[in-house]
Amino acid sequence: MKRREFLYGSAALLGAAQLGLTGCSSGSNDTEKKSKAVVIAWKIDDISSLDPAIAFEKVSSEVCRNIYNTLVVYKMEDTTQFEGLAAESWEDAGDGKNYTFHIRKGMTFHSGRPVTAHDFVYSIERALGLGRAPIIIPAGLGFTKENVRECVKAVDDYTIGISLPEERALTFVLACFTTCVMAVVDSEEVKAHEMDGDWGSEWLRKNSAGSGPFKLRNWVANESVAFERYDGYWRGPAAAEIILLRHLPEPSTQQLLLERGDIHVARNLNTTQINRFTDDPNFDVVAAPSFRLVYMNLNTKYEPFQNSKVLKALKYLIDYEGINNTILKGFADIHQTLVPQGIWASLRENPYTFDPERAKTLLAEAGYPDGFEVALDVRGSSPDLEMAQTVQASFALAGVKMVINTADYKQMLTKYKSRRHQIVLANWGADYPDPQAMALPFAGNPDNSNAATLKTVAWRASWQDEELTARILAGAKEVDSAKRKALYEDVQREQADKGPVIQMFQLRQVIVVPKGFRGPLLSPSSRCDTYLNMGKKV
Amino acid sequence: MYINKTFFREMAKVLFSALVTLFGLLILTFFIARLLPIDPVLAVVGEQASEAAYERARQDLGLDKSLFQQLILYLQNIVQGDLGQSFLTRNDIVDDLKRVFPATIELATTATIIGVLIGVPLGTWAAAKQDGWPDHVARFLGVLGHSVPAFWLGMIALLIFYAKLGVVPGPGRVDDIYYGLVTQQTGLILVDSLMQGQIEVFRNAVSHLILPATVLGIFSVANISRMTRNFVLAELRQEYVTTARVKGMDMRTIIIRQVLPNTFVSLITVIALQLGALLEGAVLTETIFGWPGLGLYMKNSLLNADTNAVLGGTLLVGVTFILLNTGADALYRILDPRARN
Repeated sequence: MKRREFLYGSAALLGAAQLGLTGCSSGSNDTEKKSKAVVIAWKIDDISSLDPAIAFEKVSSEVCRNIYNTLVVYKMEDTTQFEGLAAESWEDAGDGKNYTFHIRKGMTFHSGRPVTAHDFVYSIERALGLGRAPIIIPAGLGFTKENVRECVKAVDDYTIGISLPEERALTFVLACFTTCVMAVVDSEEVKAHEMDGDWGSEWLRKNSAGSGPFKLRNWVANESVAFERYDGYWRGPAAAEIILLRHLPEPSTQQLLLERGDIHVARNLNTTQINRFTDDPNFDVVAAPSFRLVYMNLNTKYEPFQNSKVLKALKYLIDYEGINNTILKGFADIHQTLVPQGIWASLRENPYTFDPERAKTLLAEAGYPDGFEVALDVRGSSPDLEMAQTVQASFALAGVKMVINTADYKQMLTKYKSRRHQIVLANWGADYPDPQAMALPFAGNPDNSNAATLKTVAWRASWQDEELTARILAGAKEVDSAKRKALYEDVQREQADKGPVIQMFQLRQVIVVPKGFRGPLLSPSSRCDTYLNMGKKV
Repeated sequence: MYINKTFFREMAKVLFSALVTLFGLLILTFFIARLLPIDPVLAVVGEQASEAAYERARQDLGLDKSLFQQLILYLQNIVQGDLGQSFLTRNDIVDDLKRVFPATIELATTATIIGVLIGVPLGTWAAAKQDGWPDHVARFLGVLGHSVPAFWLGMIALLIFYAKLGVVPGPGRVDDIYYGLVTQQTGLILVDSLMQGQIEVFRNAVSHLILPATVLGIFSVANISRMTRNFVLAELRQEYVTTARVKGMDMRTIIIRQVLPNTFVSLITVIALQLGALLEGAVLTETIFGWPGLGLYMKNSLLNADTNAVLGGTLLVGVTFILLNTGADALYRILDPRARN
């Protein structure tokens, strides 16, 4: 079999040599076809499924958000405000438990069926039934597989009634409904592909049944994702007819392809390349904030970190400005509190500066006048490694001798998630645009045991502040928005003051497109329709 | 004519030892992949999943069973021709391999053909003109092939021929517009496009193949020319060459008629191993050229601790290697009368 394939292969090649190689494509016909497709170069090897109830990683959720519609989205110009997408309007009963959403009439699925409240109810039930990674979001609203039929009901074809088991603030509820796990799938289409009670997830993994501007044409793991425009989209057809995400892991390859005009968007360029394009009049560098923070997790199982003065000293031993100006250049902003800019209740204050003298004094007071030894785990790629090296140098100024252990990201994560680290440098993004999405992981830890069901970032630091955790858990229930805001502001200040998790930077997303080309909307977290106007003439 | 009972008995022995090797390879890979300090569940559910979702995925993947149970289950499936599913994508490994291996076959075979077409004449020439300038060229290429990293050569080749001169298309197997025009039959895009009469796709695929195959081919040329040179030199020292010269035959005829055929036996082994090495995965070349082959697939699976995919790929590489070796061995026996007894 294989031998035969060899023979075929070699025969074909010899034939090729005779046919004569007339260069590399591009007749006029090709150019026409080319202009209808938008090609995005991206590292897309972390997709495990394109089912909206399973997709939770960066690329897969962005793909889903352009195929499926959610009830609400946050406003692009002001991410702290919400607007309806599939929902035309909503009502808040005022008791913190009952909410009603009115669905826009005239929306259709790719199959042509109208989008109804029943589809939404099915989709949420489905997400809970599947119980995969994104379930954390409906679970935050108090939904379970058992109670969901009571909690989410179709009042009529175009009205959804939500009654929560516990109070939740309207802003929190809306934020949860922006995520793709809460998006609507075509219930009949999915039911038709159900197998052994899998809620159609085997089929939906590589197929689509949405109501968004694009349908999924195909996904080949580690190669590409291809989209096809859905002409019946209620907001009007998208500008691009076909969109292709191509897996090109190598930034220099992306750069070459962009310069030659073979791709339209490059999404994994490094700082040096971005700077080169900034000076190039033929290209536009587009940057937007993300809800992702770079932080260090100091494990309080390690003795020196049990001393609050040591924690504080290390916060003064990081050259925030230096790292931001020389390593992250344009890719980030200094941000030292746990709620990123762009989510309401975010603070605009950075309490720490680089102050080695102060750090030395604090370390001496803590009983470590000559510093101590510590190990830091970090992924061995740029820019994380360079950041770690800078931290290593600045820690040394106060006698803290740091060893850097590099590993592949997932390898590092495995060690980190079992709390076997001393310091980890990593980043974390908000799953939904609400302060709770950051406060709970970074400062909340209801159960510090190894068997905990909620293993937050604070848990990984073995840090439990019961009073703070209780306040955060109450935060989601606070119906008074002014009180809710004040609560999160206090939490942020307290965590930055005493917590063992050190927030350092808020990352930006940076892409490069040809001059005047309209790229995808860069949304800081879940938001639908980011490809709608891509490729449109400006 | 030379294929007789003894031949079959010998081949059966070879095949048996091949099977034992494969089994050992599988066990070893299984444990290495399992003992990697990477949690495969993390690759599936991501960092921010809850414990319940994590636990569920772990059970789905069968990772809650003991290591021994997992191994037995895996071996049972293999006997039935089922390599399992990828942890990450839930694709059948067999389907994945059917997709990625042809891409690598296409690349590696072309590279090896380039290696043979250039390497053998170059090596012979170098040996004939020992210490002359052809010899220096061959040695230079040999050093280049051994010391230049593939990713550097690939990058430079792309910079010159794609970015600056624009004579070849960029990374990938075909232009994006041709993507999905050819349905997969053999998986070899050159063959499939021809069979389906898509001449335009065929030409495009060939133009995409040239650069990466040449880059890989250079490494092949380096190796094959060096070995050819050594083999020819060794033959030239034989008495029959002296005899032929004394009889007045000219050097060119001696080399072409007498010497080269005598080196074929050893060359076949070298070429087969060379092809095997390239099939095993030119990871770096595949990465630079965005070539969705076995190398890239294995690398990605390893980084995601996708044990089933790694095992499936390893098994395929093992089988290929053994087939090539056994094939070379059989040819060796057919070509060389001395090896028959």
